Amino acid sequence: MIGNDLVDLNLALPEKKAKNLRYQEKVFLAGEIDEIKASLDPERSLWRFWSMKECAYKASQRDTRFRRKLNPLDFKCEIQKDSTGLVHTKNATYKVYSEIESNYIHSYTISESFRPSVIYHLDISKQEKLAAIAAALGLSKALVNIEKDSLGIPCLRLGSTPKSFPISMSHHGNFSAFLIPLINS
Amino acid sequence: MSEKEIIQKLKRIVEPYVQRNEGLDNFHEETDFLRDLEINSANLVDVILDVEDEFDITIDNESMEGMLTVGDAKNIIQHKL
Repeated sequence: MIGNDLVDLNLALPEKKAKNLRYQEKVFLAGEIDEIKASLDPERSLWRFWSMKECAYKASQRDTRFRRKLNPLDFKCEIQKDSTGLVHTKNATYKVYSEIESNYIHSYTISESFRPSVIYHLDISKQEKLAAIAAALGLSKALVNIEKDSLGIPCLRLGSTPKSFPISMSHHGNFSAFLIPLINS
Repeated sequence: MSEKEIIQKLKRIVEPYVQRNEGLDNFHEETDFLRDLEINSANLVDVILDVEDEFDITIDNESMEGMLTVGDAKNIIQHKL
């Protein structure tokens, strides 16, 4: 299953959450708080953990269709390498890739059978988003629609066909990122 | 504290985090922090901390999970006061 989360660091870093232990205790487990504190760049490390949790939340909600909730402590992060990590939930483990750039952190998880293309954009309108997604798929913009279900989970529908494809989107500040399925038909 | 007072205080608390200001014009129990006000989920935790400070209560993790609308927040506050 898929999920992604993007953090605009120009907005996030000034919030100085790594200095805010009360905040951290609502969001991060004890081991995560220790890792944030011990890291060379605690603010960046904190937002990496956050984006990993959000990304796994989205993938897990797609999997199990739980009602929306704010439960970051149910997602336990385990950093593996510079760009990869695992997020453990009660029922599953998600492998998460994190791209840590100077201005943003983007974390995403994809299932084995799913080869998404990821596109980034500075803040763009809804119409421009559809155009970017259509371009990535090599399709006309008029064919591409994004629909959200009752839980707010988005899917991609092409023209009036009944078939839909999973899509994951994240937007924060000046950046948007999409995980788009590669469609063969 | 009356329900009306709680909701007025909540409105003041969330204002700095709101990204969709139209949502504030029609602020009522069904107003959804994420969908209607477009508060991002990282800032929803800030709202919870600010609610703790303003009402001098502790919001445990279980209560935090379900705090998605103004009405949810109001009920939790009333329960803890």
